[in-house]
Formats: sequence, C-alpha cells, structure tokens
Amino acid sequence: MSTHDRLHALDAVRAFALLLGVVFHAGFSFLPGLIPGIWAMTDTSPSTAIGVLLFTSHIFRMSLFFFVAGFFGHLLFHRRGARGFWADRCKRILVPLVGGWVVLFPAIAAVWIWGITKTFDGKLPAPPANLPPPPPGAFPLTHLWFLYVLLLLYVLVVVARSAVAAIDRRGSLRCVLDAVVRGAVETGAIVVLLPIPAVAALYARPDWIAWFGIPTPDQSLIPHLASLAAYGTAVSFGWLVHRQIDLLNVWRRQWPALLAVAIAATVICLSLVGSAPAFVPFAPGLRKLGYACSYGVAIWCWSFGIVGAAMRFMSQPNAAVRYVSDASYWIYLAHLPIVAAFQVLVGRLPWHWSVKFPIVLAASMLVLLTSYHYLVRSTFVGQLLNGRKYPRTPQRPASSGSRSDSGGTSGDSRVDPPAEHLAVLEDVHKRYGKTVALAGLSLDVRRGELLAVLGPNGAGKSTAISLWLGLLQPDAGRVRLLGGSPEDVETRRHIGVMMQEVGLTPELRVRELIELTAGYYPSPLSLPDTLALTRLEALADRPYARLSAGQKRQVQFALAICGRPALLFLDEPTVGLDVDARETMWRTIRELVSQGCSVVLTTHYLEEAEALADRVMVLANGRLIAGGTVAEIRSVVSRKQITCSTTLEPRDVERWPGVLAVTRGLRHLQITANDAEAVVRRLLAADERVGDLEVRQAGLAEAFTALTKEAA
Amino acid sequence: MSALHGMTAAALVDQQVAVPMRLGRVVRAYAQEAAYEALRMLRAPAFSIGLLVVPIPVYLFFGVILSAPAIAKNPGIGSYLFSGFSTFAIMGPALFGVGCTLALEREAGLLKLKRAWPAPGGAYLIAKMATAVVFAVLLMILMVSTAVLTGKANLTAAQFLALSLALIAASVPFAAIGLFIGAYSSGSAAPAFANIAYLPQLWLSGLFFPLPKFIEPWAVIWPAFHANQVALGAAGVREFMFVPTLLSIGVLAGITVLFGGLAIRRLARHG
Repeated sequence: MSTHDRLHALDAVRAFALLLGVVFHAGFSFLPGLIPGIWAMTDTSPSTAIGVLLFTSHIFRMSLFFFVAGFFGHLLFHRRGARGFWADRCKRILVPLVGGWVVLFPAIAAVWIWGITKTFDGKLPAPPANLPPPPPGAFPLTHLWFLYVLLLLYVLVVVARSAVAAIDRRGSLRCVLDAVVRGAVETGAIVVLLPIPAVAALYARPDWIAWFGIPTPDQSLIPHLASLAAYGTAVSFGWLVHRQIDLLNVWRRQWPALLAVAIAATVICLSLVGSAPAFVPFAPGLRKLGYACSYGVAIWCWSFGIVGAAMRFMSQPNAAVRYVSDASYWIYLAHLPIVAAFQVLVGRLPWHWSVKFPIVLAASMLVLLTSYHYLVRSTFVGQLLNGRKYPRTPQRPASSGSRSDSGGTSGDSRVDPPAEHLAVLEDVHKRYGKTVALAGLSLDVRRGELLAVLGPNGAGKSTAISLWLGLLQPDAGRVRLLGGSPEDVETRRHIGVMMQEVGLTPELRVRELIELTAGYYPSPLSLPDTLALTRLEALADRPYARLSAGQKRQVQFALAICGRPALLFLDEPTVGLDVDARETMWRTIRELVSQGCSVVLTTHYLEEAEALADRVMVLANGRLIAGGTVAEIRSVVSRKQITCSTTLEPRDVERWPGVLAVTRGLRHLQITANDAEAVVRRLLAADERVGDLEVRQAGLAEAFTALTKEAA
Repeated sequence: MSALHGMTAAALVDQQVAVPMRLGRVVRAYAQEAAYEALRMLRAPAFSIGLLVVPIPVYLFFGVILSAPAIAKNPGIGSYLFSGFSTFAIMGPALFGVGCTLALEREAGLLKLKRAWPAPGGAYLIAKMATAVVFAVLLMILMVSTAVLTGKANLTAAQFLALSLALIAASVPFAAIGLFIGAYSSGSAAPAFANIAYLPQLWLSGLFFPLPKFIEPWAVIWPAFHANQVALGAAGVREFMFVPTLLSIGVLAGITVLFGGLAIRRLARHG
C-alpha cells in the first residue's frame, strides 16, 4: 500500500464528515421537541428516527473532520515548509472564511427571517426579556466557525511544534511521544485517553446542553474552552498520527471492533438523554459524568472506526469518490441557506417527515452539486477550494485527420520590385536588467529564403524575434521590418506569426479563430483554403479547448499563414506534432517559400533546419557564432565523425592531435576529429583489431553542439 | 509548383506590400473582435450562468419576495431595490468578465500575440469593454422583464428605459476597473482582486439596505454608489437621490479615465 492510497481514504473520510454536516442541518427542522425560533423552521412532522440519526452523527462529525485536518496539516507543513503551509492555509481556509461569510451571512439571515416569520405565522415573537449578555467577542460566525477555529488551532499546533522542536533538538522527546502514541493506538487505549480533556471541560460546564455534545463555538470570536479542548486534541492528534502514517493500518484492522464499541457507547448516551433534545443543562452528578465519558469514548470510536473502514474499503482511487471529495468542501460551505430554504418551503406542508426530509436533502444536494459542477469545479472558486481547477472537458488525443491529396494549384505570384532584405537587425544590443540578451547581433532575412535560427535556451533567439515583431525595443542598434518599423501596424499586416506556448481563446471554434485573425489582414486566404492547407477541415467546428496539443499547434500555424504573409515568423512550430502533421506543415512551409514567402524559423529539431533551411544562423550568448547554408555550416566546422570498435581507451585517444572529443558507446568508440585521415591512420597503427570503421561528415546536430560549446 | 491538398487557386503569399488596408475591413475587424469576445463569454458557463442568470433569482428573492412588506408600505423602496440589484448585476460582467479573462489571456501570451499580429490598435481592449456593455444590455432586459412580471419596482416604462440606459453606460467605468485588474494582476490572483473590488462596495454602497449611520457618509467613495445614483437620477426617483446626478456622472467618468488610462499604460509596455 502506498502513501497515496492512504490519502484517497482520508480524502473520502473528510468528505464524509462534511456531507454528514449537510445531513445534520437538513434534518434539524424535524427534530422532536424543537423549540420554535431556534432554527429557521420547525417542521410540522417531527421524527424520532431523525433525532437518533442526528444525535449519532453529531457525536463525531466535527472531531473526525478536525482529526483529518490535523493529519493533512502535518503533511502540508512538511511538504511545503512553514511559508508554503501558511500561504496554502490562507488561500484555502482564510479566504473562504472571509469571502464565504460576506456572501453567506446575509443569505442565512434572510432565510432565517423568512422562516421564523413563517413559523410564527407572520408575527415575529418579541425577543425574551432576560437574554443572557452576549459573550465577549460576540460575532455570528455561522457554520463557518469551523474554518475560524481550524485556523486558530493550526496556529496553536504550529507554535507548539516550534516549541518542541526548539527544546528537543536531538529528537528524543519526539521519539518518546511517537512511542506513546503508537502504544496507545495499538492497545486501543487511545479512545479512552484522547477524550479526557474534552470530557473534563464538558463536565465542568454548568450550562452544558448535553444532547448536542461539544457546544458549537459559533457565537464568538473567542472560542470556549470545551471546543478548544475537544477540537484541539483532534487536530494535534491528527498531526501526530501523520508522523507515523502506518498507524492507520491499526485502525484498518480494528474497525469492526471500534464501530461496535461506538454503537454501544452511543446507545448508553441515548438512554441517558433520549432521542429528543432537551434544551436544559444536565445537573452535576454521576449521571452527567457517565454521559460525558460515554460521549467522549463514542467520539473517538466512531472516528477511528470510520477511518479504519475507509482504509479497508476506499483505499483505491475511484473517480466518483474523488469527485464527491472535491465537491464536499464547496457543498458544506454553501449548504446552510439552501438547506434551510427548502426546510422553510416544506415546513408547513401536511406531509410525513419521511417524504419531506428526503426532498429537502435531495433538492439541496441537487442545487449544491449542480452549482459545484458548473460554477466551481472548473473556475477560480474550485481552484481556491480544491487547490486545482479541472478542465471543463477532458483533453482528446490527436486525430491524424483525413489524408487526401486532391488537385488544385496555387496560381499567380506577382513579383514586386526587389527589396533584398525583408527583415534586418543591425548591431542590436538588448539587456534585461543585468542579463545581456543580445550583444551586437546582426541578422538579415532575404526575400524568399527560409532562415533557421538555432541556439541553446537563452541564446537570444526569442529576443531577436520579439524585436522584429515590435514587442521589444532595442537598447541600441537598428531594427527594420519590410523596409519600415515593426511598430507600424501597416508593416505588420504583411507578416505572419506563430509563437511558442500561446493560449488562444478556449471557447472559440477553429473556424472562428481563423476568421478573426484573417480579419486583421488586407487580403487573406479564404477560410476553406486555410483549413485545407493546414488539414483542419475536420476540426473546423471544434472549440479550441477541446483540441490536443498537436492540433492546437496546427491551428496556430493556420493563424500564422491565413493572412498571406510576405514574411513568416515561426517559433518552434512543430513541437508536439505527430509525424503526419509535421510532414504536412513542412510541405506547406516549402510551398510558401516556393511562392516567395520568407520564413524565419527557430527550432530545436536540427533535422527540421536541415530539411527546410536555406541558411542557418547559430546564436549563443546573444551573439552570432556561425552562419551560412546548411552545407557551409557543416564545412566551416570541417569535422568528421569516426566510429569504430576498438580496445583503445578513450582517455588515450583524446590526447591525439586532431581529436576534438571521444565518447564511448555500448560497443563502439565515437571520435569527433577535424583531421579525420590522420586519426584513422593512427587508429589502424595503434590497434590491429580495429573494426566496424566508419567515417562520416558531422551532421548539423554535432556541428551545432560543438559550436555552442566553443562559444560558452 | 506542387499541388496542395484541397486548395482553390489563391496565392499563399500576398506580395502587394505597399497596398494599405481598406477602412471597411478595419471597421469590420473591430466589430468581429467584439462579437467573438461576447460570444466566447456567453459560451463559458462560469461567466454566462454566473453573471447572467444568478442576479435574477437574487433580485427575486431579496428584492421582491423578502421585501414585499416593506415595498407595500413605501413603493419607492421597490424602485430603489430594483436599481440597487440592477447595479449589482451589471458590475459582475464588467469586473469579472473583463478582469479575469484579460489577466488569464495576458498570462497565456495571447495579448503578446495580438500585438505581434496586425490587430488594429486597441481592438482587443475595446472588445472587452463592449462585451461588458453587451452583458449589461442582456442583464437589463432580464431585470426589467422580471420587475415587470413581479410588479414590485414601481417604475413607468420611460423610467425603466432611462434607468436601463444609465446602467448600461455605467458598466463602462466598471469595465475600466476590470481592465485595470486584468492588466496588473496574474491570472490566478485576478478573481481575488475582482472580488475585493466587487463584494465590499456592494455592501458599503448601501445598494440593498440602509447603511449603519457611521458607514453612511463613506458611501460616496464607491463607484457602485454613484452608478446607482446615476440610475436613480435618470429614472427621477427623487426620494433616493442623495447626491447631484451630474456629480456622480463626473465621478464615473473620472474613474473610467483613471483606471482605463492606467491599464492601457501598463499593457502598452508589457503586454
């Protein structure tokens, strides 16, 4: 079992705890003995069954949530460090807390006013005369209190952690702590030890409404002691368990026993308080103590039993579970006004609760899931809540498209007065801050040629192209484009551009993108011609977002050529294309060149330059280090590649005169030399058993590697 | 010359470098850019549902159902709430639609590509503003229809028209703020900034309910307050006109120039 499996299970547990909260609130109006005015609606058909369900789920749902939050907190803290931890927690807890409250509080207040008005038949009751004074720091946190408390507890846990780390430099204290935790978990004593702080705080509380367990700290910015004790232990224990992640396996084995004890403890609690909530405090005494202890044990037996069951049954990734896990955070945040609104709607209908409760739950979930799917999952809200944004539609693999070469020729090619150099850089300097991008580069593009610009990353290729396109200004030197300035839109109407890594409007269809771009040009190709030329007919009506990476490049190429440009800039055009699509693009590029179009092409694929280029320019460190035809470049570096099988050591051969580099392959030695004949003679003399001898002209790849190495 | 697949007889290369583009085509390029921008926004459910559909039930619930008793006592409150919720409605597409898409597209390099292409100057930004206006028109049609059907706004046909036109125009300053957000923030931060520009001023402008006394004097600093005032002024709802309409128009014009100018300055330099 890998670490990942464990996280699937705990993701599901967290989602379960949150969704249980939705069920809890959806059932609230059906509680037997509910005092009108306490909740938005008091249903006309109360239910003991719902009372038992709500009582049981409320025992553990928040503690379970805080336990998982502590567990993932430790994971995050150690994966991202303190800064990353707080940045993430601010984004995913603080922002939803503040933003959610601003939106939800008015909605909740409105639904409550509506519901209570309806409960009392249009007459709002006067507030009781002797209301207790508001607690210090009073603030209606609503159900979002859990985010607030979680942030507080994270602060406390991280502070405690730093304190421990400061005192316990050698880690011996932590070893003891880990051993204690392990012992308590393996013996099962943990379910008795862990609740001690919460049980003590609850028992000490004179106004404890026992039916609702741990009092909800939603009324004040200063949480009361009982909630801090209960949820503080949950978060810290989750934090500690992640230190020894295999402890989860203990619960994986123990889950049936844990759940059995949980049910027994719950039955004891119910027998002490009844299925209907009594809104009066418990009198101190043995009965109160027994209840508090059973309640505490029930909290952790339920929690660990559920974690164990999830480990047992939900460790495998499952798309549906994953979806619900992602949705659950949004659902819990947004559910309260929606659930309450449906409760208010059905509250006075003369139907049985067994009809109304499922309706409230189903209708709320429908609204919440729909809103999640359409408004959250693939938008910034989803990005914020889930830490990632899902694409609206899954990416499709590339289709090769139909391949039929039909006839039809390209007709006229008007010849203009010769302007030999279409694009010129003259002694251009450009720096970004302290980094020198171009140091006196001169380049020119001649009419009707394909110029390939090669160079390693950071050589200055993209800067050169950006200067020609008017996207950058040179610090010194001259930039000319088609005899004018690249900043003049009139000049740019005769160039086509394909850039690296550009995101086009995802919602527009291929046909629309081409029409839009063609509209910028004075006399563009027709849409059918552009589609035919780039083999995009079959994809014309597909939204850009639903294309594969290769298809997107094809569309960008179509946009580059649709204006019938005299000069075309192609920045790494064939990255991500399959062989067919690349062949099509090459053929179209050749056709463009044959009709007099000039092309500037940067590429990493050296074979692409060899296949297409009339001239090759090699840049390194912002300078031109070599230039000429493919053949010239090769002969400038009059290097040969010698391959042979030999027993000679590469170290020795490296020292021979005329040898530039030696690499050992699986069975062969590869020697790059500028005096191949002399090297071969010496090879034969030195090793009589030399075999598989092969001498060939270095390809552009080798020439390129050698040149840029020398420049560096 | 080799035959190319499926091509009609057109040259791939236009060698008439000296011929300028006809004015008609330039105008068409502006129109097409705006039309496709609006189309893509309508196609994105996060925008079209979130920004076009959500305001209607919100108005129905808060401005009609919950406020029915108050409106029965004072019909003017119905007009005020209609204007307030309409202001809320038109702000969304302007701030989020413009701000978030601009930031994302800037980040994706689309803006750079548009600058390298011979796209006519500013067509892209004008398209963004125009889309906010188109959304405002659609929203006002929906809002007025809802108000007429429920009968709680207590405005005459002429008042509806004047108020709608005022708010459609008022979407422009918010679109300028959207441009500003989109021009300066990253794609992932833009929604957060748009929310900061949206939510607080919704509440603090007193669009939906009377403000507490200590906040009330500060309402004048929010554009939403002035948009609402212009709308109420256009419709002549005197009871709720707190500042001179001309002053509010001046403030909104100033905001448009300030934020639009800052955005253009930034985009011209960085793309």
